[in-house]
Amino acid sequence: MRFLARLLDRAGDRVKKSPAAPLYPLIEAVNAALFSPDETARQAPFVRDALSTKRFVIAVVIALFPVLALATWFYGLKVPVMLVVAYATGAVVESVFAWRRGEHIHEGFLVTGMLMVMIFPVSTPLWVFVIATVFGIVFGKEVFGGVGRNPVNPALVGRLFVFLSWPALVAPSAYPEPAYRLFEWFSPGADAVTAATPLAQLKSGALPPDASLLQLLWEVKPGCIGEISAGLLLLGGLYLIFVRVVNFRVPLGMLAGSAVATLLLGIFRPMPDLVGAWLTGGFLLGMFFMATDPVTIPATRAGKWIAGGLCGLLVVLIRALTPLVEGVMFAIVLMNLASPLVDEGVRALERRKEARHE
Amino acid sequence: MNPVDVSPLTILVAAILTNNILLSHYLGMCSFIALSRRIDTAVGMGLAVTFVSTFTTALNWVIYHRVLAKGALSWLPGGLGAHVHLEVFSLIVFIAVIAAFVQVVEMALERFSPAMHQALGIFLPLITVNCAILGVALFMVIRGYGFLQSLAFGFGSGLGWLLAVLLMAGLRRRLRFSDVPRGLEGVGITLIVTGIMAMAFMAFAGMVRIQ
Repeated sequence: MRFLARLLDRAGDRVKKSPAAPLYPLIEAVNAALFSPDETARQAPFVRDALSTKRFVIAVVIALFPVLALATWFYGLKVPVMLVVAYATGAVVESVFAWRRGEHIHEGFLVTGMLMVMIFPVSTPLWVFVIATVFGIVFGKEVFGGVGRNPVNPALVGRLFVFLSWPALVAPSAYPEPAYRLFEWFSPGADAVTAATPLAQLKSGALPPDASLLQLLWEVKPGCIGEISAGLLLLGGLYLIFVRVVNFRVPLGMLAGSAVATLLLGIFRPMPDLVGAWLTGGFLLGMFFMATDPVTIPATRAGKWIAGGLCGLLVVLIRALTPLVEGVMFAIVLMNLASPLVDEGVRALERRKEARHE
Repeated sequence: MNPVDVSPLTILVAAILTNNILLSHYLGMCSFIALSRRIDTAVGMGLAVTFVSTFTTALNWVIYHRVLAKGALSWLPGGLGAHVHLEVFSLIVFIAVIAAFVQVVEMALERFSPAMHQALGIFLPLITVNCAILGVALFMVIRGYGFLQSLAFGFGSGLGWLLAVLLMAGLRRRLRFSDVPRGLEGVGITLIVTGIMAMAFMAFAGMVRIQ
């Protein structure tokens, strides 16, 4: 490894002085992807505390790793392969953009790639997965200038595009039942024992009477790869909040917003199951790992509460009022889109309050 | 579904969320891009569009169903009107009505509320050529809405446009900190974000059906 590092360093130095100087960022990008660079940040995103973006990213990867391991156990070798595909695709796209911009490749993709795997069912064909990854990175992130400048979560942009383009391939009807498959390759033909997810059961009436909330928390559930265990997601999310990588305002806001929406719905129809809604589908995954992305939520504290509340409200309303089974993806993207406006509103109110005090 | 059965309230919600005139029909795009650069102009234009769209839709409904539609002139004496149908003129009449309405509103505002006129400024005349307003009038005819339904549809479409342009104005403020490739600056990146927004609004697509 040290040999490779020295080789890349030397190649970088030589290219910088040669006529091929425009190629330098490409070599630097590969270098930065493989080895930790010895430079400090010179461009956004600057984080305002002792955490660097690298540490930030690693914390999220640590928090998601148990889920990934469990999913590999129950869905087989395709899960780690999807991760490799996501990282490889991401590395190619990011390198091209980093090279064109003359910037370094950014480690932020480690999170996006991992989330990309989390939000797809294992039955997704790999080509669909690659298209989602490319679309998400290009139109969700790179056209805005890369990590830290995107208005919307890039993984969700890719998921949204694929969801609307090939609904049958990634929709809940394609979710396979988890079973012990550790050293097996998931093949949609043989393994296509699709199961009604607990979320779908909630939607079509109620959970089976023998399903308790504790079971929802600890048992493995059919769904997207990252939705396999609510318990592990909860642990990972609490870990992120504990190490202060993720702020607690958006998740709490989401819980509050979904509670308000549930109560509102309860006026007009039998009230939906609130805790059941939290523990099923992508609620925990989205709440801890996507809705909290610091780049795409409001910067003001009040704004974070409002955006989280809006997101929770939308999740419950979309799940209840539309034919869609899952609303978390849409709710988070809509919340991301509304975030700058929420910030503006909060700041305008603050300005008005200050003006009144003077 | 027979459009006569749809309640105006449903149409109002649908026009804002499910069948947003901008995000699902891509109408009113040029002023959307031009005026989402600043939040205050976005609010001004959004309110003006809502106002004009509500009233011209109502006005156009009356003109279409009392003058232009087949058999609409049968109230003329001597059975003269029963055989006339002037639907072919609806497009040009709608445009004329919208333009005239905007002119009248502008003059009235200038006379009675100069401050408001100052605030809306150039947006009012611009609405004359906003295809969202004409689109609303034409959809109203195609879908066979009644008067109250048309009123709700015009109002809702205006509100939906206001919502979209407000969201975009906020996002574009944020995008100033982005580093967009040179070829995509301005209109290009706005269209890309509009596309993402339109995809996100697909969440509401199945909520209510109005056509």
